[in-house]
Formats: sequence, C-alpha cells, structure tokens
Amino acid sequence: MKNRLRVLRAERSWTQADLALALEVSRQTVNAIETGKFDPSLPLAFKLSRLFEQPIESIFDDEAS
Amino acid sequence: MESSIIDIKTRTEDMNQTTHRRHIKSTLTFLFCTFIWTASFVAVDKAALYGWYSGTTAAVVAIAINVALGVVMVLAYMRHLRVVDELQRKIQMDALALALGAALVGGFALLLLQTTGLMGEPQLNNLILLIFATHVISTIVGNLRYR
Repeated sequence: MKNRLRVLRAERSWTQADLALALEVSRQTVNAIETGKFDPSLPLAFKLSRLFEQPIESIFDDEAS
Repeated sequence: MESSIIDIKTRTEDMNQTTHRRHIKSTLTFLFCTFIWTASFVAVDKAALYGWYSGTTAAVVAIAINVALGVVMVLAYMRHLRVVDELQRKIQMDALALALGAALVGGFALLLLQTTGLMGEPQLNNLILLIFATHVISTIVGNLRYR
C-alpha cells in the first residue's frame, strides 16, 4: 500500500527514529511502512492519523482502488 | 516545528522507556527459559545415558520437570510475541509458519523414508534441528527483508 509517510515526516523535519519514538515501534517498522513493504495495523494507522492530524485515507492510498 | 518534536519526544519518552524495558525483559526471560529448558533436556538425556536413574519413577519425574520447563519456555515466547512491535511479530509469525511447515513436511518425509525402508529408525533430533534452523533462518531473512 502506497503512503505519504515520508513526505509528511519530511514536512515536519522528523527523522525515522523520531517517528518511531512517537509511534512506539522500531525504526525498522517505520522504514518498512514508508517503503511500502509492510502495511501497518489499524491501531497503528489511527495513531499515525492522530499524530499527523490527517485522516487515514489521506495518508494511505489503496493501490487496488 | 522543533518544539513539536520535543513535545512528541517528551510525551512518549517515558512510555517508550517502559516499552523498551518490557521488550528487553521479555527477551531475556525467553532466552533464560530456553537456556534452562535446554540444560534440563541435556541433564535428563545424560542421566539416562549414564544410568543415573534408580528406577522408572525418577526418570518420569525428570521428564515431567523437563516438560514443565518447556511449557514455561513456550509461555515466555508467547509473552515475548505480545511485547514486540507489529513488524517483529509478523516476522516471527512468518518464521513460525515456515518452521511448522518444515516440521510437517520433514516429519512425514522421515516416516516415508522409514516405511519405504530407505532409513532405519527415524532420527527425531534431525527433525528438531530442521525446525530450529528453519525458524532461525526465516527470522534472519525476515529482518533483512524489512531492514
């Protein structure tokens, strides 16, 4: 699944480690989500949504649709 | 923008330290349980080899202790899975699925080898080694894939 995580993070000048800290996951997880290798769970997607103050659908783009 | 990063860090730092500590604690607990179980297995095995058991009861008690320690190890692993983050959980689940597959396929292959007479007694330790190796290799490959 494509996402705008890298862009949103860059807009805030956060590192992957900063984001990982905020999400309580490893930096490896943040990197895997950013590169589209791993799709986050719904709770983690909501966490991202709250953190970036944006709806989930504006962060994630379902390629299939 | 800088202050918002500091806000996030401050807000989550304590929580993360707790999570990190829980992660380390669960990992160490699991490793400790694995070590104890392995040590007990070796002890029970060697005791049988050197004829240290005075009777059947002693052997049964020794095996029961080993099984109980094994159950504790499995519970520690389950707890560890609950503590790690979701990517690590996925990597572990994939590795477990492959290890289970290897156990089934390998186990039945051993049975067929015995049935067809190509092999004598099934070597159970080879099967255990196959399961262990599959899990370890899968975990390493999973970590490399999501690096």
